[in-house]
Amino acid sequence: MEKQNKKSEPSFYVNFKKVYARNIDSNISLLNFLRHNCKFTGTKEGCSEGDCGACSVLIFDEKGSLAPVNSCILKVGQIIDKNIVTIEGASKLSSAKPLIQALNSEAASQCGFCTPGFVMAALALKEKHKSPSESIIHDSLSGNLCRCTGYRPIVNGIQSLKEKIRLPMPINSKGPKLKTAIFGKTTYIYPDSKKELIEFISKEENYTVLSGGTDWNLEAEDSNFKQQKILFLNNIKEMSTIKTKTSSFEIGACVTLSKFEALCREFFSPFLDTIIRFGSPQIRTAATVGGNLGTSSPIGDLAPLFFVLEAQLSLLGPKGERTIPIKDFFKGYRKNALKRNELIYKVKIPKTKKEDSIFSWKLSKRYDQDISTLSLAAKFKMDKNHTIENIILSAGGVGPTPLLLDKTSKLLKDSNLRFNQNSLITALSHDISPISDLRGTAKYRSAAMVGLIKKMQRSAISGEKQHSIMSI
Amino acid sequence: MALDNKNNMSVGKSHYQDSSFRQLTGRAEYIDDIPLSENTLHGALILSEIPSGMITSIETEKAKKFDPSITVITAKDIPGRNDIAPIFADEPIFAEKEVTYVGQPIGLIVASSMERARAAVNEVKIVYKKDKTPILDLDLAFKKKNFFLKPIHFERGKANEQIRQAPHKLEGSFSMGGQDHFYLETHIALAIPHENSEFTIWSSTQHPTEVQHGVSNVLNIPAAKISSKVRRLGGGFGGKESQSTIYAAIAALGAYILDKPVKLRLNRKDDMASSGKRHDFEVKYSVGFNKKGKIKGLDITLLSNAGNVCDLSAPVMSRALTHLDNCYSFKDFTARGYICKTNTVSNTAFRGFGGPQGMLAIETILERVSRFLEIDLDELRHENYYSLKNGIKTPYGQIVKNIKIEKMINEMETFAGLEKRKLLVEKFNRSQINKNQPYRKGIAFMPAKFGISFNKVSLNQAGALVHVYTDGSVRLNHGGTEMGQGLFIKVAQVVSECFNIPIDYVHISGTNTDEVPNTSATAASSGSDINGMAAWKAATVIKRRMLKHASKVFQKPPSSIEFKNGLILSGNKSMTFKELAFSCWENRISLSSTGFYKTPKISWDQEKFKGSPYFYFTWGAAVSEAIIDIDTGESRILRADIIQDCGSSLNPLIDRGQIEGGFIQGIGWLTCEELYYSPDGKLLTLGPSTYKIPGSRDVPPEFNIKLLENTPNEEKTIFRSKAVGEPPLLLSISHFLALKNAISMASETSNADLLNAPATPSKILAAVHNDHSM
Repeated sequence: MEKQNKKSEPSFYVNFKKVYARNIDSNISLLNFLRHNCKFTGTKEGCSEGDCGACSVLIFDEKGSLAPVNSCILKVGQIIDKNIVTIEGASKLSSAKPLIQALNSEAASQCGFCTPGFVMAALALKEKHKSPSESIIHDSLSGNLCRCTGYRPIVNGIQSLKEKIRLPMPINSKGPKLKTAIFGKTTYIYPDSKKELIEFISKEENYTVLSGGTDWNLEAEDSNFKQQKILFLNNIKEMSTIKTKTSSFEIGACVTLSKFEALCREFFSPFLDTIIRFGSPQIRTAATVGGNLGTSSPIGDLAPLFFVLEAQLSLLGPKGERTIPIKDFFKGYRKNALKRNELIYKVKIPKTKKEDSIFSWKLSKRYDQDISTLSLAAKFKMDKNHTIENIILSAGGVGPTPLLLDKTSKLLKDSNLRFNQNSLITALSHDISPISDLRGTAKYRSAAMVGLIKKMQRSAISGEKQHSIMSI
Repeated sequence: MALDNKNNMSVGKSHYQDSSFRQLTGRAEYIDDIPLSENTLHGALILSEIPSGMITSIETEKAKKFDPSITVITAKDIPGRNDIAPIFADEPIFAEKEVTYVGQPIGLIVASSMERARAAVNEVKIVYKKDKTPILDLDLAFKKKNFFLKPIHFERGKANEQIRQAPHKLEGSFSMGGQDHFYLETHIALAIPHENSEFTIWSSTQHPTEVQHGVSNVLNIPAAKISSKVRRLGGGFGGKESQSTIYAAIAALGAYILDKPVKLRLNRKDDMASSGKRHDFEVKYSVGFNKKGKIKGLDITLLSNAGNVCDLSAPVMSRALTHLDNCYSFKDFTARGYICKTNTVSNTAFRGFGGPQGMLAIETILERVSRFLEIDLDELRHENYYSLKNGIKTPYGQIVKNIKIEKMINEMETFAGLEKRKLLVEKFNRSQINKNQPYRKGIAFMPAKFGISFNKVSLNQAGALVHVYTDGSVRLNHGGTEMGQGLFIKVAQVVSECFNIPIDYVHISGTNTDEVPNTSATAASSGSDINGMAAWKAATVIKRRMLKHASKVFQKPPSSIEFKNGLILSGNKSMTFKELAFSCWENRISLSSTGFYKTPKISWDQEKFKGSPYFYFTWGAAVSEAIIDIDTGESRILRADIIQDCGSSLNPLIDRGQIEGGFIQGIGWLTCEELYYSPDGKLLTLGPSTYKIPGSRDVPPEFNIKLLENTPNEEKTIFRSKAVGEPPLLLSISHFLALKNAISMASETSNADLLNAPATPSKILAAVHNDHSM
């Protein structure tokens, strides 16, 4: 009897041991499950919004490679059958001990509350890099905040260790996959094919579509105890993979930002500076391409990039797929073209041609792990005489939606990038309508957008990459 | 006193923070990690949503429908006094009728889990009668004369006459923002009721005694029945000096009413909304000076935003005013301090405690004068430094002794190569302008003098309790709290030094009011000064007894007996520390003692604003090099060189950590950390997604730190060390000056005067464009 129950009970692996999600009264986060149910209190809650990294744990992906993730904004319903490693598990591994010793020797822990999270981030880094550069270390620690040390001892501790760290392989879960799981009044539904997905959205009305949850789970506190259905998309293989076609890439909506980052590294390298500032490694482990577009924020770090690449979105509804260009997707502040029971299924991005140049710049209060104040992306083509043949500019943070800068693009093309400042300001004033908020005033956004266009101009004229002051 | 450290057993060595390794492996226990008994309940706060008004009703039916087992607790349930204010009785734990800021606690919901309690809070509706004219900023409070206490006004000489007669004069004003502490561990308290009205309160606090008093007042139970404890804090920075008390008292009230343990842990949002921060200040000044930059007269007015209650705002203002002089002798000086009352969260202690605000004021003024005169800021400073020639008396009357300014400057020139780098920065900027590139660099030096002691004389006392057990192990307890700053290991080093035993003989125990009563807050950088001395005294009493006994055992005079590395040596005879301890017990000699210390030589008359409030000064100096992007207003610090006077450092590794961490925290205050309020007084930056503290990349890529060498404290402090907690934070002002330097070279039209703190990209671009409205 008990065995039978176990089969239908949601379970996953913590520190290489199977745990069952039992006696749960709500849509519980992994962090609370670890602390309250497993009594693994080494993982800390610092902010509960995925920004401080104190709750970082490691998660293995299907290939057995390991990544840090914020357990505070990850629900237990999202990690069925996955392998999680916490500080309690990691610190017992002999392979992790040199790192812990190195951090201790540098006095990398003062109050210690952020420390387990840093150890997790550092382990993930050292699993991939033998001797990472300082810049890569900063990339890897961008999801972790420390208020005591000033970070140098942490960076030094990581640098002092010259060996890669090998971690054990995850445990493979066997047997049939769960179709549903219940956590208090929350029901998770786990379709694993397009067919099952269509079946579900054809008959159900009230549900929440969930993949990485890095946005929706922030607001979940209000609904954790309420009757709700969550349609979890990550088990549909087609939605989590990138297909390379002859002239385009088909990116499943559930492809994580980490995977997208790898794609950019190879094919869209000028975007990389922006992509590695999308959230943090912890966020990019969970956050998805479709999620970023679906939230339809005015900023949406990916949207300006996709605008200039002229991406097409494949939307799936009860009657199948339809395709629209991304410029038709955003309809207003947090509004988009998705109809009832429709979801983003794929994003198709044409490959850039040799003669195309791309540019992007993200501007935020803090360089790392911050929401853009504004952003600019551009794609342009120069002929042999250094004349602009065509140019597309797109921006985030300067209107109710991410948008194309049509008038400005025209000015840049017509003037062959030799515009004067006043005509630029006039053109921009037609394209953008920024507001004042906690990230900057409307006037600042307008002035800084002029600055970003100048950077793009310098880049186009010189053919050289424009460096941020954080990377010079 | 054997404070000149002849033995070098432990003191002066770089021992690790006492629980560093346990922290790195997740085994260090914070309050939220304490295993709970099954009947423990959890609280969540009901917070006010308006800045000012009256509560008409608190509707909890929906919350009770969500979970009928919850308990709602409000002001009417308080058996004792509804007040936990540290100084003036003006701070209720729950707003009863009137609310005075957005985020003010109104009530507590207790449920079987924290998540349930929070979900229930979301179902509570409060009806208010809104006050239509809340006071939300300093300007309005000043105009309406909405002040706490009588404004402070003190004068030395005749500032206004001197300003009038000076060859040059400038007037101006500027503002600096507040700062959230952003300790990684939010406020938390666990209250456990016991028989006979006894309570144990676990609270993440820098001030267990104030928690004890707060709980005692609110519950109307004698302090002797309240045991206030904390093993470690996940960061404090001043934010848990007075601010923890209210949460501890609320948890205790829940435990009292329900007769069950109650834990109250704030989520980040509630913590940032309801708890105090660094005071934002406004500065108005007029200054008269000659062509060399010698300040002839200075008149400064400081406005601080106290928030809704007075809390520690009075001593914060005192420290701000007594740091306006920094390292400069001003003979004709007038200063005023207005503590403004507003309908925003009460501001409180934060590392530096007003000192950074005072020092930023004077440094900004001098920087402006140097630009006005087109002379080098450091040359201008030379005209004004405290010296026998310029004078050594502060405007508030204390004589500045053992001045280390020249020593600092000389060492800094070798250390940082300042003069050469100033030229390189100019060269870089010229080349950027010529190539139509957007980067500009700036560089600045600054010296800093920081007064050590609590401004309130009575707080400068500490107690310790030392037990030696018969196995030779030593248990150490004192009134100081460990919040990552390394206090526990420093004090353990002192005890290890005293007995000349290895450091691991000394067991460090958590702070609690049972063992050492009537403690002062671990604050004002005083932790190791006062607790170290108290522990040294306690250990010395026991050592003296042990020595006397050893003298009997060895039949030798005490002067011929030496405690050395865990052994007791007398000629060619020896015994272990353990053997001596056991022998003392057998011979009925007490192996336990308290120790008590009060800081000598300090005096203060708040009414006249005169005296010698500081036992000694610490000295520091920094050079910062900054870069800005004039396209976007982005900035960063490229290099920092710091020299800090730690006296004879008790632990150079720990001190270095304080210097680096404090400096970066100051960089955060002055650059990326911006508290942003909605027009109706609601703080919108309620978490790290919107409130940005520095990240690892924001640290200067080149970061050189040096402790000033061969400078034992001239005053008799513990092993001649000096305090280090706060002073390095003030050195971050050098980066703000470097940013101004960069802006001043940005273009012909840029205007560095426009730069207020924090220097966000928005504010930097405004100064570059000379556009006030940006």
